[in-house]
Amino acid sequence: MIRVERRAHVPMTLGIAASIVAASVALIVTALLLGLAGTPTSAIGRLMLSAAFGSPATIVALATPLMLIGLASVLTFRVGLINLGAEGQIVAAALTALAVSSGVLQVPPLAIVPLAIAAGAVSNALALALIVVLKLRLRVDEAVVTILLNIAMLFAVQLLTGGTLASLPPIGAVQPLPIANAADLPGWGQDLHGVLAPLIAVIACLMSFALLRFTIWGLEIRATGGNTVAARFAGVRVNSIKLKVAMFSGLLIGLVGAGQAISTAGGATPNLVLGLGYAGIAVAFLAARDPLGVIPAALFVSVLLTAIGAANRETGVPLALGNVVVATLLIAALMAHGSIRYRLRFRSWSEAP
Amino acid sequence: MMSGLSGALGILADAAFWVAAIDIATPLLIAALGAILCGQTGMLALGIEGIFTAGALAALLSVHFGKGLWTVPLVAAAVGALIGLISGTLTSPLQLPQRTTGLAVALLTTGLCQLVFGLQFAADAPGTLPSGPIDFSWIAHLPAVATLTGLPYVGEFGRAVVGAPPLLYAALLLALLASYVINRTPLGLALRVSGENPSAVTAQGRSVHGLRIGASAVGSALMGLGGSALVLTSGAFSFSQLSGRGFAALMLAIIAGWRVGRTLLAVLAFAMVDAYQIHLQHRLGDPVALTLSPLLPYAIAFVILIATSRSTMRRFPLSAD
Repeated sequence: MIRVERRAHVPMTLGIAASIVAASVALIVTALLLGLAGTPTSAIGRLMLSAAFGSPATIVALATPLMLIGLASVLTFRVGLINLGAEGQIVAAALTALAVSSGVLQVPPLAIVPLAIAAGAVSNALALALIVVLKLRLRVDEAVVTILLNIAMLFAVQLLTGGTLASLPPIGAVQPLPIANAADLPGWGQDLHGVLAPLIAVIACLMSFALLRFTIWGLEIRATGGNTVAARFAGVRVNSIKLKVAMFSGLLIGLVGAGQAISTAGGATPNLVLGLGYAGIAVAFLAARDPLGVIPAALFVSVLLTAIGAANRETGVPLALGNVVVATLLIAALMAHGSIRYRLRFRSWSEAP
Repeated sequence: MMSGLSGALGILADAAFWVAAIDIATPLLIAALGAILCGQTGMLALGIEGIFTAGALAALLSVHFGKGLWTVPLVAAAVGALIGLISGTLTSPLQLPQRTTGLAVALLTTGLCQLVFGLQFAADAPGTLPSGPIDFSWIAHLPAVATLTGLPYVGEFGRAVVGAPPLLYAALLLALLASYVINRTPLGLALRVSGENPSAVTAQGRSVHGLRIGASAVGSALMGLGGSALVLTSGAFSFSQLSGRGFAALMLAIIAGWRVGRTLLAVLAFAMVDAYQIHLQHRLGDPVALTLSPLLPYAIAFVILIATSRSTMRRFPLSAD
């Protein structure tokens, strides 16, 4: 007789194996779809390899926002909040940062860039706080609201820039923003941004890991997400924890949007890379909702998207292939990590209880 | 701007306004019925945006490959049912978190649609139906209809309703059928109980998973059908036109607390606001001030969603994940 039993404890090696299985599924699907879309078989391997090992700078540049969004998603999921709205929040933070940098403030030019980035991050933290308050006070479903706000933000910039409407545009597509970037980031500033942003992302992941694993706040966060009722019964201030974690993750997402908008050349129309908000959710689940896992997961997704972008430029494969790959990765990661919570136990009839 | 209230009310006597409103409402209503069916069994169908698009693309492709008008909605419904079967299996027996899976399904299906569309129509003419929108003008010339619309006091609304495409009547019939099945049959009772108290269904010896997968398949078939209705009435397929419609249908069904009658009213109100802003744009020649007006119906519905959420959630709590 075969029984399906819930595991009391999932070993870490099994979790890593599940992530590797999910990643392999995504890799195979990417290769298959590239082939079906007309990429020659010989080119598929070359594209993937050159994406992975060709230019580390490109991979890191794309992995940085994925890491920050992935970490933000991990943290909110860990306290039982489902924020599916990173996509729209990036747009909102970018617009806020551009509005601040557009010359409304009489401050020295050197202070404008940090101020604008801070404004984007803080405003987004407040936006997420509002969503959590709406959830806790009015029982608003945060997943529905955040996904609707994604659409609203996207439609707004698409309408203002005269583009066609797309609620779930191809991942990697470029969307111009309706506000020009007035803050001129000097060359050394752009170099600094290129170094500082990945550093901040990695440090945020490491610190969040340590916080969750080794501190009393981490225990309270894990308890809140694991069993809210029990946590509240044990004296954890559940709502306050949810609010704080949501604000911190909003801050991280805001950094992505503001950073992307401000780091473009001064006077130019900034472009946002679309779809990273959704890819970040896939990163979070590929990382098994663990802050440390976010780093390799973001690097992996970055390689996949880079390969698809290269295939798009070389052979004209539609960018929408990225959506299919990211969605497949998300489902595969959910299934892999869902299934390892259980195990099969083989017993003879006589042993069965 | 319009000259105040009389101008705003005057639009109600405009036939084009009612035709537009009905064209907007029909696909939304059919898709919202699908969302209701899922919602009653405790499933939040976030994949609706993708399934709606998939139904529309299926309709376009089946017309493109020369299928008749009766096969088109069937193909769209079959595509929807297939996606619903898969997503229902993922969320019910396999217990994946509903909202994240729903988002993944939406991403996956819209991505596949964009892929297929990009590959099929890359060089070809974009997605207009070769036959144009379905022509229902013969209905207006039927003797009975002509007499009816010729009567005094019928008004533009009446003329628009009587001359409306049969798809509207199909949608209303589907709404009646859905309402009957959900509220008046043992199956409907089982569906509702599987949403409110799944263990009670199990205690009766029925399968919650079976009910949910079934509801997901039939509901998604309706969502696909809604997408095909949009293509058939407008005679064209564009992602721009489809975008956001699926989520709008879901939002309206949630506002209505998964009840058919209220959803019908919500859909009609949404369609009227949308038709009104389209009318304003045409009337005023696309001025800059109205750039964001397509967001208006969504914004109003969104505010209502938040304002009513406390009372709807008390009666119809959504699942936690």
